[in-house]
Amino acid sequence: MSKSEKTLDRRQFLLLGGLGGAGALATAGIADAAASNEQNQGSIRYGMVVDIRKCVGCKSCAVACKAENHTPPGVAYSVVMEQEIGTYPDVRRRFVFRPCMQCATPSCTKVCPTKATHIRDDGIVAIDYDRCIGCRYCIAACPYGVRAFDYGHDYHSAPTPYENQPSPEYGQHKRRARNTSPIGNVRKCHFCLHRIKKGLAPACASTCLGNAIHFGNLHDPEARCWVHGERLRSLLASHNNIRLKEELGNNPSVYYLI
Amino acid sequence: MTDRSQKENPAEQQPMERRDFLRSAAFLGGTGLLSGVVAPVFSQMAHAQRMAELDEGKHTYVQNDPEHIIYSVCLQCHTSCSIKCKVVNGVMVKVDGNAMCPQNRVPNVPYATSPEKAAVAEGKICPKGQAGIETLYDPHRVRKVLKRKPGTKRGGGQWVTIDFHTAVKEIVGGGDLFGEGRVEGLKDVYVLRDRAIAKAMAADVAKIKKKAMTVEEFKSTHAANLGVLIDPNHPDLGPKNNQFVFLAGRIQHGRNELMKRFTNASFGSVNTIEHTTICEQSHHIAYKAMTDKWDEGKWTGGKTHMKPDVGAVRFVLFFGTGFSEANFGPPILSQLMAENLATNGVKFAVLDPRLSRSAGKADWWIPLKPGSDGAFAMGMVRWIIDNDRMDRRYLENANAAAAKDDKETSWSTAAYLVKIQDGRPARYLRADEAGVGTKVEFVVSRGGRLLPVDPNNKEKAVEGDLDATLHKDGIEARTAFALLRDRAREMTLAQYAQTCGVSEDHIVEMAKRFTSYGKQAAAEFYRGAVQHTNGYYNGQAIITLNVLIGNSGWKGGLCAGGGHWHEFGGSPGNPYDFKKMHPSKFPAFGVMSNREKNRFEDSTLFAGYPAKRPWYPFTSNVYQEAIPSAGDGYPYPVKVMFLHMGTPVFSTPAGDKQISILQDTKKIPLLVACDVVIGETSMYADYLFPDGSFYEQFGTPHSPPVVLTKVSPFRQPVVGPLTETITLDGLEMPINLEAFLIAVAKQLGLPGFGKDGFGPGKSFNHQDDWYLKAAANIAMGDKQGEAVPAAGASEMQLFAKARTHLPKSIFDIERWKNAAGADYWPHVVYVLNRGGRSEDTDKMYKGSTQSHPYSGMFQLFVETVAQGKNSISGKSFDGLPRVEPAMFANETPVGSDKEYPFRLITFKEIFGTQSRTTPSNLWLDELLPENAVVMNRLDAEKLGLNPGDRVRLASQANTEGKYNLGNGEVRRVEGKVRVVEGMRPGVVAVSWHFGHWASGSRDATVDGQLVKGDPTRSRGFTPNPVFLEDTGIGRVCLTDPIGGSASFYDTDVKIIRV
Amino acid sequence: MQNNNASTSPALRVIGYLVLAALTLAGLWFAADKFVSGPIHEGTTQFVTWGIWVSGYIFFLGLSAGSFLISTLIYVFGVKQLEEAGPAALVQAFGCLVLGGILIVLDAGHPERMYMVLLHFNPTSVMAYMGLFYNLYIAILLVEIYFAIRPQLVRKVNDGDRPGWLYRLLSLGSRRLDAESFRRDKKWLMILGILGIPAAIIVHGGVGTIFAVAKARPNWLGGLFPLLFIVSALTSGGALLTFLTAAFSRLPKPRKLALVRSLAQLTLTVLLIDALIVFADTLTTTYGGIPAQASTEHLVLTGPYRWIFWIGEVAVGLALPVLIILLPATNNRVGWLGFAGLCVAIGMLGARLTIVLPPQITPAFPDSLGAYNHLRYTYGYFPSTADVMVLVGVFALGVWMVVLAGKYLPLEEASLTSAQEGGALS
Ligand SMILES: Nc1nc2c(c(=O)[nH]1)N[C@H]1C(S)=C(S)[C@@H](COP(=O)(O)OP(=O)(O)OC[C@H]3O[C@@H](n4cnc5c(=O)[nH]c(N)nc54)[C@H](O)[C@@H]3O)O[C@H]1N2
Ligand SMILES: Nc1nc2c(c(=O)[nH]1)N[C@H]1C(S)=C(S)[C@@H](COP(=O)(O)OP(=O)(O)OC[C@H]3O[C@@H](n4cnc5c(=O)[nH]c(N)nc54)[C@H](O)[C@@H]3O)O[C@H]1N2
Ligand code: SF4
Ligand code: SF4
Ligand code: SF4
Ligand code: SF4
Ligand code: SF4
Ligand SMILES: [Mo]
Repeated sequence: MSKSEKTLDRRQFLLLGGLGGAGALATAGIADAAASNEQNQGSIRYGMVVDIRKCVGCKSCAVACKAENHTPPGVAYSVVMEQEIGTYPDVRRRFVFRPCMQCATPSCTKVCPTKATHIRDDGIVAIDYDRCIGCRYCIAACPYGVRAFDYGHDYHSAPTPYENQPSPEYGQHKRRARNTSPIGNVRKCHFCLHRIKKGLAPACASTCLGNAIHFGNLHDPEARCWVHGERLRSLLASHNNIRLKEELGNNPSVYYLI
Repeated sequence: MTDRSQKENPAEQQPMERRDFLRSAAFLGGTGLLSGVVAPVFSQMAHAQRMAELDEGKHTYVQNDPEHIIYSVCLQCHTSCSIKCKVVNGVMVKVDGNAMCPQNRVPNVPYATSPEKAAVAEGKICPKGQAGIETLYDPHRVRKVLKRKPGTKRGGGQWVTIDFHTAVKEIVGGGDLFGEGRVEGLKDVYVLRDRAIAKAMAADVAKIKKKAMTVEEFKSTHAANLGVLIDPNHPDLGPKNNQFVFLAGRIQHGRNELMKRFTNASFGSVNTIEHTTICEQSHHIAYKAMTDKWDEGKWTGGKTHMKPDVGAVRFVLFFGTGFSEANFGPPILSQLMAENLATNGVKFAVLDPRLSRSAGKADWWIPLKPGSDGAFAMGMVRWIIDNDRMDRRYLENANAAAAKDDKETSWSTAAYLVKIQDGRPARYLRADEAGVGTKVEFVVSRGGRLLPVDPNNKEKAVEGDLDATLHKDGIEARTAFALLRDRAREMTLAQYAQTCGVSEDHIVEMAKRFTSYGKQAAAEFYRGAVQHTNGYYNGQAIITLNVLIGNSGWKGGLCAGGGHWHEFGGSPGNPYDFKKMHPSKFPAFGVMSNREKNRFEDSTLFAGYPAKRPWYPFTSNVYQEAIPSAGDGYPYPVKVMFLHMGTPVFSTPAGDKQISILQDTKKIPLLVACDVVIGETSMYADYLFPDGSFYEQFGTPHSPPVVLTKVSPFRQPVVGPLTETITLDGLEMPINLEAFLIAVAKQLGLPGFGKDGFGPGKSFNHQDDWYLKAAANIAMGDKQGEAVPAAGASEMQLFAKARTHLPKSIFDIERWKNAAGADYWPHVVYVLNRGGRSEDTDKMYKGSTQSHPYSGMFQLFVETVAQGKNSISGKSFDGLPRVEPAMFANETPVGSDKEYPFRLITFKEIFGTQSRTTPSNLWLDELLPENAVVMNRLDAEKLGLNPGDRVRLASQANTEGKYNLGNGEVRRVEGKVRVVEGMRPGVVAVSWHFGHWASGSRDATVDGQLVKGDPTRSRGFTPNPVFLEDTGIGRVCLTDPIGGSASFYDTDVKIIRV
Repeated sequence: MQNNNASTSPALRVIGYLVLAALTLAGLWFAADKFVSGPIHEGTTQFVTWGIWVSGYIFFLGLSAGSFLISTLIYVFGVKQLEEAGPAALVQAFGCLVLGGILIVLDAGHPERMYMVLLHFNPTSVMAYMGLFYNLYIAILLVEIYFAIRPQLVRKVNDGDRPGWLYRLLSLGSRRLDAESFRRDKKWLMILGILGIPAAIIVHGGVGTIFAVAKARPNWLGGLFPLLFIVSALTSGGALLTFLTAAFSRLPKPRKLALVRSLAQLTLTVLLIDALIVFADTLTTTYGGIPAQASTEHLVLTGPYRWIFWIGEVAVGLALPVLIILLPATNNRVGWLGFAGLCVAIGMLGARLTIVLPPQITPAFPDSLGAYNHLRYTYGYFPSTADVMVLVGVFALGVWMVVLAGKYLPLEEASLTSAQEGGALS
């Protein structure tokens, strides 16, 4: 169906949703489904709106990320940065979830000598493991420190059944084996591309305890968060929003509400 | 599915590689120079093509497909979240929340949604839950039955593997099992087997308690059978059967009922003891006491756990807890609070000496002195009453009818007259005493007239004056409210503030706020406020705040939760009433080995105060007393102890003092443990039975009360068992608690198990027989015609397809069907396909009230407690909240000592759990590799300590800061310093979870072979060994004499640099 | 101190060779391990992702480019007093390129795919151009070396010196020794030299640019690095050449002294410029005090890297050589000047370390420290055994090159003859 049709029936749905919890929730279900169709459409720029006022610092996002992507020890796609602000007794705690910013003008793709790191039409910055030579220039160049080199560590000397399962990343299902990609490659958050392809929100956003991570298509004015159903543009308009290191001009796709 | 994708994956890569290679060869054939120049031109094409390839819908991702999903219930902590386990090739590859369960997603995916559709949505779970896979596949799990190597000491780490059946025979039959002489088996303890005799004795023991029969009379009546008693001179101790103690630790619902069936109803021992007093018991007891139901002249118990409706509340006070670190539980509480914060701007204060994650987000952080929560609450009570800010209208309602008129669902005893005896409020005045009614009615005064009240009367509304006094022919009485007011006025606000070490304004501001949002304010409290010797009173004071504004049952007020369907039957709709499904139930009787639920004064052991060890008339599951009591053989020696899912030695304050008892084969001749690893306590066992992890288990856990709709999460096996599979009477089953209990029961010939275990034609041979009947009860519902829909053909297929990886030992569709009952089966499948049963979140409220409100009475004055006495000091307990310092059992205050200038407290990290997860769970380990002594910068500066410095903690009870494992190893209470701003100066905090000395961290020898432990799993340290021991009692920590809570926050320490 | 390896006793020399052999083998072992076990034994972290291998790489690349540029002084600009150093400079340039190449290949996570750089050339990646010009540069060097020593090779073939096969191979079958052929040699040397200058500059300036464009690392970012890298290339190249000539040249004394001296003076000049740039950079960033930048400077000036900086770079790499080259007492002694060259070279190695490592140490978000705990996320960098042994091995390999080249390649004779012939013609 055409885009307008789709957004329309999504809105109708939300209308219902407004009335009862069931509907509102279904936003999620539907938003997911709808989003999956969005795949076939142009002008997609996937992004996140992270509401740090709602972030409770649980780090479920970071662990979900590990579990989802089978990242080895020493590789963290996302972290939650903690800070204590003020002095006793006037103290607060701040937590900032930091995935890859999926910059619209990324430093990493620019410097990558092989174009292994490339930006996709949907705005996601992905890595082609089979092309990456592991030079780490991208790590040196990323101003957000989100990239990690896979040194080939493993959690258990004798791999657990889970560790023997391939990682679903990029739909490639690579099994972990010495000296084969992604070992020796640089890795990073890819907005759970393999899930998005199935119309599923990123693992971190899905489990976020504070409903703080919102995900969706920043280009579609009507687009709603795949997980919580809020209209992304309204969210951005409703509070002060910032992007990290805005001044560097990387034009991140991750916004923070403060 | 993945196999395909895997096959397809190389297919996807290979040609590309080759093409790349050829092309490059062509270039490299020339000089590097040439290739360099030419490549760029081509690479554009190459790039585009490559991208296309990567994108060609090759994104096979199966783990969210319905046939790869089994819904179950998490148990990384005990919040029991509903989870969505994703299994591919028989391996669990991801865990997420169950979006259909209101506990893990608000709003939830409608329960009626087909599993196929629901598969796309995920619920929310915390980091521990997300890391479950690491726990499931923990390489240090035990898989075979272990037996202490004969000739070696308990805790020596020397084991031999033993065949399951042999182990069961030995445990039942006893004999010279360890070359240390004869050990009595269960059959020797299972002495009284005749139900009739038991019944008669039980009845007479009840008489003895009521002083309606003397011991001599008893002895002559039962002369023939005195031999079955532990001590004929003290028949009230019960039969020898009681010398079997089931220490159940953190046992889960489902297993809990099974344990009780085994121990009480079949074996005839009264001793099933859970972990609750090291957890939050005084919180439960305070609620239970204040909601105690009056039923035809008896107090019949009340709600143990209520919470603020955090989704709609507009002002919350968190005493010693929060919403984002622990409590019950992080996923639901965080979700609701965060949403409430963003949409309604809920205001909240956290009272905690430590800046918890929640406090770090709060509008007010009030770092009060540890143990002063009651004082703070009473300060608020005083201000509220002095300024007349309570809800008089609510408080004057004296019964259900009056409440109904005001659209209230609860009412209180505020206006009830309380009799003053020997100058203290003793008990509620009964209507017969006042000459206005019967002895099952109470009395209020309205405009000088005395009126009888039947609290539960729904027709005739009765209201009473809040401030009334009665002096009439020798009877002196005042209203509970007036007594509370006088109690609150015993101290000035300044004094309260000083006790709490906060400013008076704090108390006033909180009181003002609390009374500024009508019914949409609430006070929540948990461990921090109650795991003190004064825990019960603290709890009572805080609950009193809620009563003063009458917030219970309102949207945004206090809630008791939506409850659950009765999985063990008893309601009209339930097909199986487990209580009745027992061929011959044993009336277990006698004093419990830890003397809980019993009054010292009633027992034949009573010969004036003090008792040898405390008695606990008002509480239950007094965990910390179980082993020390066995150590003293008081009230009687223990012969056989089962330990399940608990590590008292590790998780109890001063628990290390119990080690020597566990090691003493005279005190506990036979010690059998059931554990997933060789744990801190199970390492001392004679036999260790492996258990399945919770992903391999069944269970029927209950959701926390903050879930406002009715929910029954159902735990079911998600992956094949990692423990050994055995065959019992021709049935394959994995070794786990259930297999163990069934086998022992059969070996002992206990009724209620095995053939016809549930009654004629209904056998109990396999765990399925137990749990699938429970599932049927949930599926068919409590009321007639409340059944869930029957699963259709496609759901039936999905059900089987999702379980193809499960072995016959745990999944056999026919066996399951028979166990559940063919008629119920399709409904059961419907439930299993959704991980349980739940009402949708749109049913949370009816207008401005909750759909499932607590409808009952709140007691401002607790009669039962006022009637009780401290078994050590002999002093009476108080019916009103009381501000009290930390005290030993004999009521001497702990006091303070310049030598130990810091107060030690403890807390839970959001990514740590019970005694599990960190650091043995490597994903969580990465979030915090070891805990620390957290202290304020000012204190650190005073002591000249820098972050990372190593220090040891020592207390009056443990002046060295050391503890002995009794196997040659001495450990130190030692860790790194962490310096923060967010900590009350003078208080230091050490988080839980760390400092394991077993659980895979230590070497063990099995069948002569060394099984290496991983020392990194013992990182960090546990503060428990420095918590104060009640030396007057011995080998037990300080304890709340009413609520029974173990004290975790009343110990002062010194900090020794090392 | 005196230079002539002739005087060192055979026993010592044998021991020397044994040690050298041992170190080389050790290096080889760890290099091989990289292909067996992958990168797991490397000491770098997710913050300091480029370690001492990359530092070594740019060090050798610098030497190479430097030596080459000096050779162009001879073949392109016909600077007479350096003539004899010409061929040596070229061979040195080539050798260092090889050594650097080994390190960078090892540093890559997937060396076997490095051809991807050319195959999927990314026009916006400085590193991609590096790969490109690296090839180009090697090509030029090889051809140029051929022309530089062809006559002498031919002579050796004719004189039947052994190993004959080697000389026949190297001379690529050329037999001509007539003036015409010499002129052609010179012409080619000139042309290739001219071609080579941009190549060398791009290669090493390029490396500088790799760092200079990384806005994520404030202490790298900016216009200074490309220049600095070229200057320090010259400095290190000159320094090494000075040292090697002083140590191994078999020229008659006076000419040798003259040669070494002019090399030393050249080195001194560029060294001072280099120092000036570094000083300016350090001063401004510390003065500006932007945390991200200043923190790095503190690491260098007062932090863990202070020894490398103050002792290695300032004392040994700058003060000492400047004194030696300026003081009359030492500046006419071949040995001292050679030593000065060595000092500068060592200082340059230090400079490479302080340029590469410290700016990476402070993470993009200091708060992220402790958010995720693993040795790859720890603060600071300490090279692993593998890191060190491989680097040592590569240096050992370098010494082998010097020894063998000195033994078998007719460098100076070549320069002499070609120079004479050329001279005769002019
Ligand atoms: N992440 C996580 N969540 C859990 C669990 C877990 O293991 N991990 N376990 C579950 C279980 S079993 C339980 S019982 C609950 C416990 O839930 P909580 O009671 O919320 O958890 P604790 O951290 O034990 O509570 C102690 C808190 O009280 C503070 N405190 C200490 N002393 C005092 C005091 O005197 N006064 C006040 N006001 N505060 C004080 C501590 O700083 C700490 O913040 O959590 C449940 N949820
Ligand atoms: N310092 C400090 N101490 C504390 C606390 C604190 O906050 N600070 N919290 C207290 C609280 S609230 C509680 S509830 C207790 C909890 O403490 P525990 O009840 O001891 O913790 P659990 O992890 O529930 O159970 C511990 C034992 O059960 C075993 N086990 C784990 N899973 C299974 C299973 O599936 N089956 C079987 N059979 N065994 C299993 C473990 O190996 C371990 O030996 O700790 C208390 N202790
Ligand atoms: S954050 Fe870093 S890795 Fe991610 S796109 Fe931007 S530059 Fe690239
Ligand atoms: S490491 Fe891989 S992705 Fe990063 S720049 Fe080098 S080739 Fe590109
Ligand atoms: S989007 Fe996916 S990859 Fe990125 S941080 Fe979240 S979970 Fe990790
Ligand atoms: S899961 Fe959500 S709330 Fe928890 S830390 Fe991550 S972003 Fe914050
Ligand atoms: S809160 Fe407890 S039960 Fe819920 S997911 Fe986390 S660990 Fe599991
Ligand atoms: Mo607990």
